[in-house]
Amino acid sequence: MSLGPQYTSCVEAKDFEPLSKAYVAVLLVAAAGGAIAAIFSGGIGLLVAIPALVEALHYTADWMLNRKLICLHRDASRMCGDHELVWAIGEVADTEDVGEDKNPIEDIDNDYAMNVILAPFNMMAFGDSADRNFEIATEGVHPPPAHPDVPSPLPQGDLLQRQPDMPKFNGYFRTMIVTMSDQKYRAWTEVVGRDYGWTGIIGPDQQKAWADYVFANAWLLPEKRSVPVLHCEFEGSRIKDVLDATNTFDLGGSWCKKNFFTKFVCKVIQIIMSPVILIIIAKAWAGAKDGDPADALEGGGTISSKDQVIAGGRWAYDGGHDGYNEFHATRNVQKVAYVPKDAAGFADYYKRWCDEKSKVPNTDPDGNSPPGSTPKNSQPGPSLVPKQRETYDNQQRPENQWVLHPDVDGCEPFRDAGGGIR
Amino acid sequence: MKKLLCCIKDRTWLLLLIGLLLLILLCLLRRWFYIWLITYLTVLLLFGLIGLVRVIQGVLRKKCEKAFGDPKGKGSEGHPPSKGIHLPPHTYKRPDPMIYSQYYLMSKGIAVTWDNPDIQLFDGLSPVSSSNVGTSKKYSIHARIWNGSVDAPVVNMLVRFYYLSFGIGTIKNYIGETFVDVPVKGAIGLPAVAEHAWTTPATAGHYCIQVELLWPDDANPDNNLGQENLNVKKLSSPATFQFTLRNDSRFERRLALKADAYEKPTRQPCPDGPPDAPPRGNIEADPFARHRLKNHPVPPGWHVDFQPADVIALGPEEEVLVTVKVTPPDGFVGRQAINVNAFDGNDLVGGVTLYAES
Repeated sequence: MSLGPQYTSCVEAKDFEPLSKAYVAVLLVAAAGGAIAAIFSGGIGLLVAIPALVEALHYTADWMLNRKLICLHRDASRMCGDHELVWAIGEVADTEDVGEDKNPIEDIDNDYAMNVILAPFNMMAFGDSADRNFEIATEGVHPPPAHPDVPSPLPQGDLLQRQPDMPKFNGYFRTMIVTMSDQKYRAWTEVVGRDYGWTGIIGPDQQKAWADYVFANAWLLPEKRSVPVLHCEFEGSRIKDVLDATNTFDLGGSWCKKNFFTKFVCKVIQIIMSPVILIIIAKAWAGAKDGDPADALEGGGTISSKDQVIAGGRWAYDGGHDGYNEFHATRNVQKVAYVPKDAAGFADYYKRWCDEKSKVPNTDPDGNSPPGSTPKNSQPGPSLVPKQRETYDNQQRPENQWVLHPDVDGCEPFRDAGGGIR
Repeated sequence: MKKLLCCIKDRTWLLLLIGLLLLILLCLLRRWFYIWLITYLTVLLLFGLIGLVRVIQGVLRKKCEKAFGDPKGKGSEGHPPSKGIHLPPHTYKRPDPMIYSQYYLMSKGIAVTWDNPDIQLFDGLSPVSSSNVGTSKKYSIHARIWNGSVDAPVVNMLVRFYYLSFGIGTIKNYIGETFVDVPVKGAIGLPAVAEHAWTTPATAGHYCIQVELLWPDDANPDNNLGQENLNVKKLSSPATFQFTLRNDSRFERRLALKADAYEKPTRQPCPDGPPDAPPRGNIEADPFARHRLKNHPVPPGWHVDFQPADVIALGPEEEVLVTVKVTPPDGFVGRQAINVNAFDGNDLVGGVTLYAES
């Protein structure tokens, strides 16, 4: 039993502040200016350049780790018991590798992700308009009901819907290719995903690849669709590692925050030690690998396009982009099967998964995964609810230590006179 | 030497240091190693250029992606291809739904009974033996299903029911299927029970029941097939049983029939049982000693004879009627289980459990 790593924290909507691009820009300009000045000043300019760069990294890492995400609170009636993890069932549209769509500064975030089309869905119901598709995915119909504040009638529609007090909202879309003749579909990134490879500087022309695909499959009537998905991120450790590195000389942290004077002393020490800090940051950046999907540990499994999954994670709003809800971090994934396609059947199916998942102890009673199972520095999971605690206690009992079959390597618990297990 | 090389390979800084030292050395000794120094510098220059190209290429690649791709969240045109992502075991969970599976247990060196503890036939609310069913009569098959996983439950697992004519390798007949939810080990609701109605064939005879669990992402798909093959006969010195032995493969096989007297023993008390409870066998030596095949030979005084032979060669889909004569020792009173298993080499092909009772 264990949960996937989660290094980030989320803030409430009222406490959210966007990244100050102006502050970062000033620091980067100072760093660049200092570096240029260093050439003409025998290296003295580095006294400005290095501390400015370290501060830029510290500020960015701290914002991304602790202030980028807004906590979303799901309606209690839609939660699985009083479990803190939110669960979603659907089909994987496609996956996103580490560093995809990120500029060099955003590369500090070495998360990777899967995009899930929430069940139940009918790909053929989606049309040309992304807005219309969003209404279908969240409300089940187009146009949406007259009162948009009414909760989604679909068991999972709320996971995609705009939540109150979010700064801006766009939703998260992936492009799917639908072939109208045989009513099948594939992810755009599977059909004409751009692959530069290791050696090529110029990749294939994607629009030409798409035109070739349409020409070759004209009889299938291929069309593009912008489909709303739930973006599910798996966290890498790089931001946390870099932030920890920038805090190397904070003298334990709390002393530095005592008053203005101690804060000033710490800043001076950090400025003096910034060249060392920069080396530690570089080491942490290069060394962070927990979010690398290629870092295949023993066990586990592979998620690909078209896999049907149930995913559990923290439901959050990502303030670092144009605004959408997501799972960040996604801490538990399991493949599912025989998913009903009708709304009523799926509602029952979702409830049954909810019931079963709410009995599973993902961690020990304190929310900790067994040593070595989850990377260090990851936050603990939520503490166990009574049903999970009951299962956890049962799992520790000798009669549940069997491996082959209870009748082969199981044992019989001693029952007292009242019939209770002792 | 190998150890040293392996030690160095992942230490970039050490390799850089060695490279630098080599450069300094060649530089200092250039009077004697001038050609080597030039060669070394040329190689360094070439590698440096390649490195520079890789850096520029990386920057260009990022720029191109940003320039031509859909912004994050607004589509995936211009994005890299979708590849399978590997999730480590702390995140990715896989259940292990299971039933008492003779084929799986035998592959682990465990003796098996075909009187499956997880498959039970019911006539209304009363359990009945599968060796004693009427013709054209409606029964209910109950299958107990376990989960070996502590953190991955199963919802809507497909369970298929079949019946076969009594024997080994006989043809499966589909009864029906149902879906069942299987909680994790230790949770309330485990074992789950899958039920299905079965109207027996109009032809009188003994029948086997097979239950198959189907889950696409199973941690161990080998323990998903359980079978109940049971026949009970009164001892009339000897007791005579008959069953069909069929080669269900597309190749000729030599099937060896072997008898043993394994019966599922009662579970031993758990270690936290009452103080006077006997210890749980010789767990340290072999936790499965009580279930090993070698520990359950046909008891002394009993004779089990196969007709036409105990090794039978059968062509593809060929079948033969096997007669088993079970002779008890004089004066035997009670009930004795005799399991007859058919092996192709070391592979279990199937088996039946025969109960001879006085």
